[in-house]
Amino acid sequence: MRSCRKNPAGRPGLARRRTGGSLRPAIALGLALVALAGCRAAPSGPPPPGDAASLPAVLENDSLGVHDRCTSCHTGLLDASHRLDAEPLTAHPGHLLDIHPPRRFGCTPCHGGVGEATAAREAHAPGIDGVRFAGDATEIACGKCHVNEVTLDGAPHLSHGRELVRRAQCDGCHQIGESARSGRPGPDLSGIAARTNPIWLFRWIKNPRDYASNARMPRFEIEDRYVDALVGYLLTFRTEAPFDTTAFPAGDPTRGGNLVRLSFCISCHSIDEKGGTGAIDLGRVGNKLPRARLLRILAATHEADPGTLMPQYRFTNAQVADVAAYLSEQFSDPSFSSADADAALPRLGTYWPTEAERIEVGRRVFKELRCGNCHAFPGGEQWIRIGPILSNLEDKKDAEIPWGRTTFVRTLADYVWHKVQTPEVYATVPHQLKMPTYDFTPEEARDVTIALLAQADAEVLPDAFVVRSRSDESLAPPGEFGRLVQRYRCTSCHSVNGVGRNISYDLGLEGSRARREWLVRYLKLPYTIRPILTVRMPVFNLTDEEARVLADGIAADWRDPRIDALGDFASGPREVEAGRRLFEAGGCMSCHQVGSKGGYVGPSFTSGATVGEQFRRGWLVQWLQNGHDIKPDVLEPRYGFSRDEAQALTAYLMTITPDAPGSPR
Amino acid sequence: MRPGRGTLPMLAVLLAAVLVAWGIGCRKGSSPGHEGVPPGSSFAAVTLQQGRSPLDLSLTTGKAVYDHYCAICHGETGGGDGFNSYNVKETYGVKPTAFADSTETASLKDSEALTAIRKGGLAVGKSAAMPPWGHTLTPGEVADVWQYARSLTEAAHQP
Repeated sequence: MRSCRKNPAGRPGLARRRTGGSLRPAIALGLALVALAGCRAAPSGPPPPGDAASLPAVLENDSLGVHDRCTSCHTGLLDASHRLDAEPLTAHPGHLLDIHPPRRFGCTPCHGGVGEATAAREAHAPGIDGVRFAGDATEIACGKCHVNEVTLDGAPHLSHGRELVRRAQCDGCHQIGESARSGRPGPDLSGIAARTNPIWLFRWIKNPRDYASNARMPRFEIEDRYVDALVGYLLTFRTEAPFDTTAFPAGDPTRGGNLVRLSFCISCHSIDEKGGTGAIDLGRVGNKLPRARLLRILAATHEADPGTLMPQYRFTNAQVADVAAYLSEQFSDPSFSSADADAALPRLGTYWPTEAERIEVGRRVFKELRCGNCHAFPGGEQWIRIGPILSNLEDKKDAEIPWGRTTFVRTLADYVWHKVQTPEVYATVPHQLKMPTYDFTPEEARDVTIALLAQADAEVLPDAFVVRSRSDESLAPPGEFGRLVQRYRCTSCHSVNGVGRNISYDLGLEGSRARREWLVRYLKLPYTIRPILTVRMPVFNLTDEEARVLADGIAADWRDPRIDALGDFASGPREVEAGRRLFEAGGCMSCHQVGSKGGYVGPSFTSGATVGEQFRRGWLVQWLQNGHDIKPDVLEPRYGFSRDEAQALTAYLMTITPDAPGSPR
Repeated sequence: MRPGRGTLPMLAVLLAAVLVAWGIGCRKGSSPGHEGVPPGSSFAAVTLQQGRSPLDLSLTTGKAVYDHYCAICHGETGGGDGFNSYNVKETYGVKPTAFADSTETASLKDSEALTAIRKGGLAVGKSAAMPPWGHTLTPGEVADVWQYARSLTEAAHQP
């Protein structure tokens, strides 16, 4: 246990990491304790060979540079019966070793340290920031292989952090890993003077979250007079393509309210913080949008904002007027515009001696803050990333970190953590910083830090270990089907084969799953499939022709013939009876409704449509055997059915009617 | 390998102690902390969970499994009163076990509960309303989720 055959030269990125000076004494002490405990508890010999739960004393994988002796002491990693034992005998927590077998991955790629070391103290040398071994920060290592997946099983903090980084659009100003942002996330500012009002602009720029708690735009720490100047400059963007509002009647707010509920606007928008998280809160929309703009957004959604995720509803002009009347009347907050809300409001427009100076200052501020990185505007400019490159954060030397006058713990992780929470914290001169504030909580900042450090790993891995999700390229299939998918913005809520948003389930296999006749019916009049869900598919008022084209397109393009082929099996009364027994023993009705009985968790088997009316047989067989491969986080247990059992259960499910539910025991 | 998992609490406490001491020391001598970020708070403080013993890690895994798969019927705090519990009662005539109720859990043997989780209620002579999870969860996760369900009894009876 004494000697140490350390070979950092051949292990790029693992042994070279250092920690900030202030942490070193603590870690040295801590490691001494680890070493002591490690030696004391070390077993006298390796576990008996041949045991499925045992691992060799050295894990080797040359392609990863893994020569890990960790299992010499950590002997119980795969044995669930050791999960409450003390280190180093304890089992690995969770299920991650099931999908990352130690024989292939070793230990150090995820946990850092020096795998070849023969003494615990050497082996446990700290990782990048002294904390990678421990707790949540271990997830930094996941990013080495999982280079760009946003939702990553087993790495909740990294997933959350990546989602926040994406939402905050950090890559508008920083190069981050492989991120290649397409287009600008903010709205085009051309014509903004006609779309809102100076008071709203002032309060929005000063703090977007004062208007809507889920606003995506960050807050820039600039003085009121500069906010005022920006408002003055933005008000010069007057040119808006004309929109004729004479065709719209006055509108009835009551009817509008009913339409808003029927259209399930709150599946995406929240109202006073209740409802969906996919789009901005509408609680004060009346303070922002004049009637003409509301009418335009509702009547000609994609002409008003080509980049929007919002579908084009098929409202009549009268319905558009009703919805606009409801939104204006119901969601205007007079206190938002009062001096009580912001004492600077009465001074709006008086900060500068002349309007020309106001506009000129505003133009300079606009340029300096690089508003054009997120917004198109008249005579726009090139998109230039003005922030430092964040792709190789780990290479940053201690001496390069501008700690300013702060007294923080000096590790790279701490630097990033404080910076993303309070960007100004290291600034020596107030109000000079270009980076805006995102109002992250300490926990959100931790997850962002984990995400930024995770993507920053410069290690070069063999291709076989790199996992990459597909890019968000345009999904729309060609032709009329594609046009309708665009018009109704299907991918604003659904993904298709993993690409798109995940408010609702993936449509990539929908053509193999659902029967065409059911699709036509459902698209025309969607109903509640899973009572437990609060988001609902909106009623789009599709024409018969549109529903037919969409259903045909789904049936033709979004399917897998291998799944369809699974439906080709013979079934008679014997199979149906065998299926019925499986149905009853499996407790299916704990979650699924049949008639008036059953649970609210999974889709109902009879309300709206029976299984036979809705589903195709091949998909049911596939789902019953491998549902977790289609939808990994599904609540339905994996039953381990054989092909015969899955076919029998399918045959039975196809026969279920509201009155013949089988009799649960 | 998770070096220092058993000794992690010690390491964490030690780290915290050193960091706090260091933070206080510096605060006295130099500039005050910045607004919004209390001095002495650190990335490690929001990252290292305190006292991550193997038991804590087991309970963490168990809670994640429980919240995802079980709470919908058995209730988030084990009251047997999850969102779906009423439907289960109406359909199968039995209500989900309330882990928070010590009179209900007193008669539950560990081996019986573990079998029920793995193979479903029918396997222990109870209702089919409880489906089998042995093909969904690893043996460790089954043990962890039962550990967590047990802990709900204690949690409910703490003053």
